[in-house]
Amino acid sequence: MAESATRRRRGLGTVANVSLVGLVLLIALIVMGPYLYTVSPTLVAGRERLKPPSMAHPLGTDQFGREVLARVIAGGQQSLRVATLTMALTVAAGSLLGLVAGSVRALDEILMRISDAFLALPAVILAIALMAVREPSEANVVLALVVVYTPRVARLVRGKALLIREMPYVEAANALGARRSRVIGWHILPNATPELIVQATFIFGYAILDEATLSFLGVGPPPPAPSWGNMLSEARYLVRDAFWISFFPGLLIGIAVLSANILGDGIRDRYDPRRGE
Amino acid sequence: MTGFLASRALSLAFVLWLVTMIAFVVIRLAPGDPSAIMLGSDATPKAVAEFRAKYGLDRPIAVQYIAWLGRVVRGDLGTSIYLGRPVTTAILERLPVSLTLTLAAFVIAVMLGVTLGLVAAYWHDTWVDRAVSVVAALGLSMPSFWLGICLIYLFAVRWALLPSGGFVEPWVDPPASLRHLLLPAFALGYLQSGLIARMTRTSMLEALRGDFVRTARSKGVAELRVVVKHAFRNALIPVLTVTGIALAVLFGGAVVIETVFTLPGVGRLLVNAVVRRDYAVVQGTLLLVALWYVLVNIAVDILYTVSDPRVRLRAS
Amino acid sequence: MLRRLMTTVVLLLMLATSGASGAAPDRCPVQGGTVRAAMAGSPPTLDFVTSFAAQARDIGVYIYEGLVTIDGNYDAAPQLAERWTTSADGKTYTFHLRKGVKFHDGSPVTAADVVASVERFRAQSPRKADLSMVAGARAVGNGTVEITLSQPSAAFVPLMAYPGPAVAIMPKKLIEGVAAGKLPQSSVIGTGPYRLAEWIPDKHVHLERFAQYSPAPGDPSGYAGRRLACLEHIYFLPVPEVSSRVAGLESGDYDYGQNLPAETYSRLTATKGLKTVILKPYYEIVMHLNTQNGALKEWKLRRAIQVGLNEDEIMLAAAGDKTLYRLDPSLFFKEQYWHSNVGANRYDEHDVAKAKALVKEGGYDGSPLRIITTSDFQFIYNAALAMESQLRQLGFTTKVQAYDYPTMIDIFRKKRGDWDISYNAFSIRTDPGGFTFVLKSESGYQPYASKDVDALLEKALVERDRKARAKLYEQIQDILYKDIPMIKHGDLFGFDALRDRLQGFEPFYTTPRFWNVWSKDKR
Repeated sequence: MAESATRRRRGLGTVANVSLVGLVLLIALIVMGPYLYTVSPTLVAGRERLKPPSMAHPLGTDQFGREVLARVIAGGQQSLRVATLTMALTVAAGSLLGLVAGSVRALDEILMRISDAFLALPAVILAIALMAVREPSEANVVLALVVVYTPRVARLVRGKALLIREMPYVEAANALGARRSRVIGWHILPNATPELIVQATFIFGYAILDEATLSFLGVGPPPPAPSWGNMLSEARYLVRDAFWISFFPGLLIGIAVLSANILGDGIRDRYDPRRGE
Repeated sequence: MTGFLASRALSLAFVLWLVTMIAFVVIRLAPGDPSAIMLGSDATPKAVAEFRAKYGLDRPIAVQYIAWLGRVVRGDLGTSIYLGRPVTTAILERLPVSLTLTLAAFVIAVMLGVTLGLVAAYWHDTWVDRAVSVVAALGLSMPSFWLGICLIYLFAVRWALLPSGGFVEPWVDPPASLRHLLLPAFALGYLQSGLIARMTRTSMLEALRGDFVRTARSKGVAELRVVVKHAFRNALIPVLTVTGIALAVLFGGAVVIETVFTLPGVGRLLVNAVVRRDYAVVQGTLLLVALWYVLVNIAVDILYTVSDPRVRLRAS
Repeated sequence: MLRRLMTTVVLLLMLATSGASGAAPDRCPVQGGTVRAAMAGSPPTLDFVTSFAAQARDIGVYIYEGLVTIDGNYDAAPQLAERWTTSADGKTYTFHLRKGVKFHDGSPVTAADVVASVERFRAQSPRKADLSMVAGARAVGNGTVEITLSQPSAAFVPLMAYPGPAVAIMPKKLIEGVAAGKLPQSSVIGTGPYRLAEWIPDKHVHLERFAQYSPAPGDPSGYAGRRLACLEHIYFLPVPEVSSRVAGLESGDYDYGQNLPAETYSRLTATKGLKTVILKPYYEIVMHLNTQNGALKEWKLRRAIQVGLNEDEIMLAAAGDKTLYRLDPSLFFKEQYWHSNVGANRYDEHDVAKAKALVKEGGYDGSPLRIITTSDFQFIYNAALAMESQLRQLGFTTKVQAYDYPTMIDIFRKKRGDWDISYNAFSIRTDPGGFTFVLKSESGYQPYASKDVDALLEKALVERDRKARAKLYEQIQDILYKDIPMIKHGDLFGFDALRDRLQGFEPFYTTPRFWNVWSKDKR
């Protein structure tokens, strides 16, 4: 019992480090992919349908004769783009709203109640309802996911802001006449950063999964441009007859999301004051 | 205590009211004339005119909202263009399926999550702990439809142990109902069990370090009793919170699972409504899901006040 | 003539191989049992005559019957009418009802019921324009109905027989004053071999054998002839998720699966306890080109697409297996009298160089061609994607948008500025008159208007000589190949599978027919 209480963690821990490296490698491969493997991901070749992995077709071909490797790369670009954009925009919008709520008392109550209302709707449900009224497109998928996840980030930053606002050094800065925006910029955001990073990694993972789910329900990014999600979804009836079409995007989704989650946990463990004691 | 509950209920009612605004606004984001959207594009000009008059689409948007809210409060969610029946009826027909699935998934999520969490906490920082975290993380790393399809392949097709889908009402044929529920409920519950396991582990670790556990141990209380009675009871509150969230979220996850396992529930109603652009149904389902969330939260609040003395204190 | 004879021979052969003793039995070898059929969709309404949906048609045919229906050659054949006569001027048809036929509620079928049903169809069916030649219907006594036309029409009886939706005969007292789509479940009463037991939307439609059913005389053929209800219960289960249909068949949860992916054909054929059936023909896959808006207003660009396409590759992608499609240029299927090869020299030319030259000549400005398709039908979706890939090789840029089927049709028909290429699939038009709606400019179905086609269609609708009529449709086909408002890719075959305890099943049209089907072990 006692040894873990006294154990101190300096880095992120081995597993989290491995996932960090894995995630970076994966992103690098996907970004570099089109330069290394130049076959078109959307070229239909009827004669080459459903070929299993071989020298000619490294990851096999799909039901249209398209190269699965090329599609996994192009699909990864779309999936990672969706995830990264969702993450960045959510953190930006959430931080802004959270800061406003945390520093302008008049707006706090109403903003938090609105975020409660959004949180009352499960992510997937809200996202597909939004997709019902928007054309299915990559941009709209990002938009729907940002709307879904922003309240979470806003709550987090607002909580941090409320906590820090009462700290003696912030009150001192205020008393010394520092502008409110300076106080926010200098004190609140840096303090919230570790938790923001944790949330960001989780949102990154959720966004990849949600994109897949939206594709499954027919409201994801449109064809023929691949994403891991719509590859998995389009080939789901072929799981047994041509496993390679869905196996590889599925595997990459798993690796990406798992790494993001473990990384998030690692960062949380590193910064959680209760774990550090 | 009743004061506390009343204030919580009030703020949740407020949330629900805000959700009605979201549901109202979301549909208005759809491109095109709302009457054409709600009636479908095959509507005759006469039907459109009648609709516009009935719902006052020429009046200011705030007035329209209030009128709509008035109907919603009375249980009138409009008519489904595709099903040709009131949305309320359509939802009520499918609600038992979704509720059954959600509750079954919830039972699985809690049993699995709490057990895994307890095991991981007791043998923390050993291989058992790590194995548990892998099992939990896996569930959070794959799309639920994928898990569902794999389960169907293994259990229904390969080993022919369980049905591949469909729904049997529990009050009609309990054993058959259970067999039909097992796979979808597991697919749905497994994902949430990871979160519950993680929270159980964390708060159990804290509780196991607590003085009362040391005291109990030193008094020679049996180990199992220490873990379950003394430590777990104290770890219960945060677990309860996560469990409450899980119950609320599961209802939403049912959307995907109902599609994979062909269960005629509210989730499939929503998915069909989205692809059919049946906006009245989308709106109605959003409200229902939010109502569910609010009810679950009130239930969790009540459990809090019953089980945690601190909440009682704060209220008085 | 020869072709027609051949078809009959083929059909007879098919019939011969089905039953154990040659022709279909005249009574059920086994009475009893249940079939659970996994269908691709669920009917939007049980007010069948008011819906175009194939899902409604497929179930309606069990519950309802018409005066006439289609037989195995897609020709009109008697059903509730015993026989009919035509007046010399071709304007009056007299239908004599079969005696002793009862509705599911036990009441006898009368001429008044028929008149009320025809009138409701003409007022409320989306197919009411098909019967625009009808001037009126009246009862002559209890067992005879007289329908008068405003002008003679060769298409009248075939269109009365066309099942999508059928001119179903319903009890007068239940349908009078009922608005379209508003027929309550309790009023779903017909004369068919099965009656509606229960409908739970998105869960199942449960049909039960109608004990007092009075079958039409004659051997079963298509929807016509003797229809015996050997199975006691039929459950139509909507299972839109195709992987679930396949898994449920393999696990034994379903006895029949509709519209399965071709890639599973060899595996399901080899699966013990299952047998696969090929439905031939099923659909012709067609792309519409927007001749009135956008880039494809330019004929040269349409011609570029026509000359450049490789139809075999598109059809292979659509069908998923060599054995499940065939290339054919005609508006009509090979199985039909109306089939023609006119214009075939412009079908499947696959001349990429010529196409590229035409793209240049046509002054293509590089703006993407907007292709709308549907993910509801895998084969339409796959055809569109394969076609899109070829367009890019011809030098076009593209943008694909997939919708559910009704939405795609909606955009296709009402948002003419929003697309350049749209998709569809046509099942058999039992009478060529069924294409009038698609091709005539005043119906506004597709963005294409041709005075020549309109004139030919009008002539063809009243022409009573079959051969002359076929000539007219041949001319229409020729014009279509020259104007290019649509391009046919090919004929698709359907693929279904069912449990092998079910005997006597024959694929036909788009509908699984479970009448005259019995369960070996009575389950």
